[in-house]
Amino acid sequence: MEPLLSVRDLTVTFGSFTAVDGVSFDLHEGQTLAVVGESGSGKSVTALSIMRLVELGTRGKIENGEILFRQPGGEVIDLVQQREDDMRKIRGNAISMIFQEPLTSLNPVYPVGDQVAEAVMLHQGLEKAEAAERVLEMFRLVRIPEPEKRMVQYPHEMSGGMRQRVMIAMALSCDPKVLIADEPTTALDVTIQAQILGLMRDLREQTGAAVLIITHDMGVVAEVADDVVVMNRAKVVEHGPAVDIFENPAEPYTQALLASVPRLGSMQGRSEPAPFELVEYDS
Amino acid sequence: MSAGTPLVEVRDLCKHFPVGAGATVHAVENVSLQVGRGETLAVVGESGCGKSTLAHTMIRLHEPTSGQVVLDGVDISGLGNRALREHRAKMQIIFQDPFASLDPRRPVGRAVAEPLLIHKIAKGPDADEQVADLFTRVGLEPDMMRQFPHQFSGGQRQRVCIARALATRPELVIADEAVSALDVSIQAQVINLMMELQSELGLSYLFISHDLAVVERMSHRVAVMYLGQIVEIGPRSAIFENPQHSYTQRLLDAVPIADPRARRDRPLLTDEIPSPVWAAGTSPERVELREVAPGHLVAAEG
Amino acid sequence: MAAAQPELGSPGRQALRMFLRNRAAVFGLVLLSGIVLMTLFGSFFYDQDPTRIIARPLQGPGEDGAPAFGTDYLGRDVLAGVVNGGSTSLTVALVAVFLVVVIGVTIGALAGYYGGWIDTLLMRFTEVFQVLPALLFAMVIVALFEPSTRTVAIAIGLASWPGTARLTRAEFLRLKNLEFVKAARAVGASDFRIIWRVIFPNALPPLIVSITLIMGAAILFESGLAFLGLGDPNAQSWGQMIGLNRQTFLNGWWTVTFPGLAIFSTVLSFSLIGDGLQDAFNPKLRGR
Repeated sequence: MEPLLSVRDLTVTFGSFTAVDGVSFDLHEGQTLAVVGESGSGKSVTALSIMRLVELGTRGKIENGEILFRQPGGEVIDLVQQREDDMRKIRGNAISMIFQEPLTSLNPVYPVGDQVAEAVMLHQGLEKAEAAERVLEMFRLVRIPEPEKRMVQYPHEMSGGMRQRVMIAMALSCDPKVLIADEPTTALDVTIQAQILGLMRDLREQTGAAVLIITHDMGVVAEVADDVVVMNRAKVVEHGPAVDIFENPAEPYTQALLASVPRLGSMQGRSEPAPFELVEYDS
Repeated sequence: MSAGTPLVEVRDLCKHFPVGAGATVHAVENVSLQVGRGETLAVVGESGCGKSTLAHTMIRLHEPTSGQVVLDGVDISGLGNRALREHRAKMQIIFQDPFASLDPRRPVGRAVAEPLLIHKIAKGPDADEQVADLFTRVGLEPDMMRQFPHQFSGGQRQRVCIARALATRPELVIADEAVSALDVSIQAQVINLMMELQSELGLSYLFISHDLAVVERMSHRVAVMYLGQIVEIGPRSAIFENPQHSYTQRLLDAVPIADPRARRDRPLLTDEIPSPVWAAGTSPERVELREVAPGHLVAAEG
Repeated sequence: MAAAQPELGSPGRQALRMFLRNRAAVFGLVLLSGIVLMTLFGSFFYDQDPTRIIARPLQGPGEDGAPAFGTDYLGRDVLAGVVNGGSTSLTVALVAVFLVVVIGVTIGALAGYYGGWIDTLLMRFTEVFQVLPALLFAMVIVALFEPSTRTVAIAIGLASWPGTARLTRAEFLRLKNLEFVKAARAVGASDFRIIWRVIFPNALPPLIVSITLIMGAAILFESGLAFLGLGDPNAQSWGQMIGLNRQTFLNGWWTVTFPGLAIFSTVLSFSLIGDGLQDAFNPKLRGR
C-alpha cells in the first residue's frame, strides 16, 4: 500500500553543520513509527522538517530530499516544495504535533479551552460556540476530568499531565492524518507517562491517525511503536519492526545502545548490584 | 548488608517550607533511614515527593525543621558553621546538571582543586597532582584539567563533577538525579564508573532517582517516597520482586519495559498525586512502618 | 443529557479582580478618575473664566475677597486655571502616548520577531531618534510648526517612542523562541497572528507599566514645554501656569503649588495604576 507520509533522502543543514543526512522512511496509515536516538542524532530536526518548522526562527535549511504526503483527498504533495501559506493550512490540520514541555507549549495568558478552540476556529471555520462544544468533546476524548471546569483554567493551574492532555486534545481537534509527538512524555513523571502512553495507544485506535513518535527512551519505544527508525549522528542506522530491533539488532550501534538500556526486571534473582555489560562501539 | 554501625542515620527528619498565607509544604515528613558503609541506598519517587529535599536537608543545604542526621556518630543537624564545614568533607553531592554546577569561565581542574584548598587537604603542585589522580580515577585524561566546561561532553562533565566530589575523600556521596540528564549510553558508563569507585574506595551512595530501572541496577537497598514520607523501604530484591505498598506497585507497573513483547494494557487512569501543601494547623497523618520481612518496612494503608 | 453550554474563559474579568485587590492601584484609579472628571465637568460646577482678571493680583487663599486658590500675577483665578488646565495636559499626553504605542510597539515587534536585516534596519532607525535630546528635538518641532496642542502632542510622541520600541523588541526576542510560539506555528498560525495574538499579550505586562510611566512623563514633558513658553499660547495648561508665574512665585506660593500638585497627582495616579496592571496581567498571581 502507498504510504501516508514518505520521507526520502532528507538532508537538513544548520550553516556548515549537517543535522539530518539522507534520511528516508515511510509512515503508513494507522501505524506508530518511533524515531529513536540520543541527543544530537537529528531525530527532532527530522520531525520539525516534516512540519517545515526548521527554517523558521533558526538557520536550518532543507538541502535535499522529498517529504511526500498523501492528502486527505488522495493527492500526493511534496511538503518540501510547499509555500509557507500552504503549509499553514496543513499544520495543525492534516499533520499536527505535540511537544516535550507541556508547561511551556501552552500560552500562559489564555485559558486552555480558548487555545484549543483557536485551532478549530482557524482550520474548520467554526463559530465560537461550536468551537467550545468541540473543545469539550476533545477534552472528554483525552479523559480530562471535569472538562467544563478545566476549559476555563490557565496552563499554570494544571499539572504537567493535564497540560499534555490539553496539547493532545489540541493536536487531535482537527482530525489529523499524522500526529507527530516529539518526546511527549519525557518531562512527565513515570505514572503520568504511563497514563499518557496508554491514552495515545487508545486514541490511535479511536482516531486512526498515524503516529510518528520521537524519543530517546527505548522503554517508550517498546511500549508504543510498531516500527522503529534508529538514528545516530544525523543518519538512519537501522530500520525495522520493533520486535526485530529489540531482539535481533543488526547494527553495532543499535546493539551498543540496547546494551546500555536499563531494563526493569533484568536483575531478578541477583543479590548484589551489577554493572551494565556494555558493547564497545566505535563511532 | 551493613555490618556494625551505619555510616549515616537519619531520625525523624522534617523539612517544611512556608508558602503564602499560613500554608506549609511538608516536603520531608518524619523520614528515618540508615545508609550502611559501602552501600547504595536509592531513594525513588515522583517529582514533588521530597526526595531531593531530603538529600539537601541531610547535608544541610536546607536547615532541617526537626530531626537528626547522624554521620559517623556525630549529630550534624546541630553543628555550628565551622564544625559543619569539617564534616561536610565527609559527604559530597553530585547534581543533575553538570553544566550548571561548573563555572564556565574557569578550567575544570580548578573546580576539582577547589575542595582540596578549602579543606586544606593540599595546595600548590601537590594539589595539581591530586587533581591529576582524580581525573585518571574517573576516566579522564589528566591533561584535560586545563580545559573549560564547554569543551567537554555531558558525560565528561559529569565525570568532572564526580572527581570534584571525590576530592575531599568523602564517605558518603549523594547523587541527586546525577545520571538523569545523560544520554542512555553515557548514563550506563557513568553508572558503571560509580559502581567501580564504590568498590575501590568503599563509598556509600545515597542515590536519588526517578528512574526505577536504573535504581534496580545499582542499589543495595531502596526507599520509596510519597508526599514527603517513606512508604516502603527494604532490600532491592524485596522492593522490586515483592512490593507491598500500593504506591510502590503502581510505580513499578508504570515503568515502560524495553521489550515490545512485554507490552501491557494500561488502565486509562487520570488520577494524580495530591499536593503536599497543608493549611496552618493541619498536617499529614504520620504513617507507621511495620516490618514485613527482615529489613523490609512498609507503611500501613488505610 | 442536557449539559450546560460550555463557556470559554474570560481573562479580562480575572485581571480586573486582581487589579481591584491592589489598594494603591485602586487609589490611583480613583485619583485619576477625579482628575479626569474635574477636567471634563469641573467648569460646570466652578463656572469661572480662567483668563479673566477677577481681582487684585497675588491674593493668597483665604484673603478677603480672594478665590479659594488665590489669584496669579495678573489677578486671574488659580482654581479656575487648575480646573481648566487639565484638558490640555491630558489631551497632549493621550495623543503622545498613542503615537508612542503605535510607532514603538510596531517597530519593536517587527524587529524582534523577524530579526536579521529587518531588525538591524529598524534598530538603527530607532537609535537615530534615541540619541536626539528629546526636549531639544521637541522644541525644534514646535518651533518649526505652529505651537498648537496638536504639534506639541506629536512632538512629544516622536521624541518618546524609542524606549518602547526597545522594550517591545526585547520582549519579542525573549518570547519568540518559547515552546508555545513553536506550538502555535505547528497549529498553523500565521506570522501576523503569532505576533499579535500569541506573543504580544505575553509582552503586555512590562509594556503597560512602561506606557503608564510614559503617560506620566508626557504630562511632565508638556508642562516643561509650556513652562518654557512653547505650548499653545491660547490653551491654558498646568505647565503654562507654572511657567507664567515663575517670576512671582516667591511672593505667591499658591500660584505654582496648585498647578504643580495637579501635575504631581496625575503622574502619581498613572504610576499606581501601572503597578496594579502589572499584577493584574500576571496570570500566576491570579486565584490567590
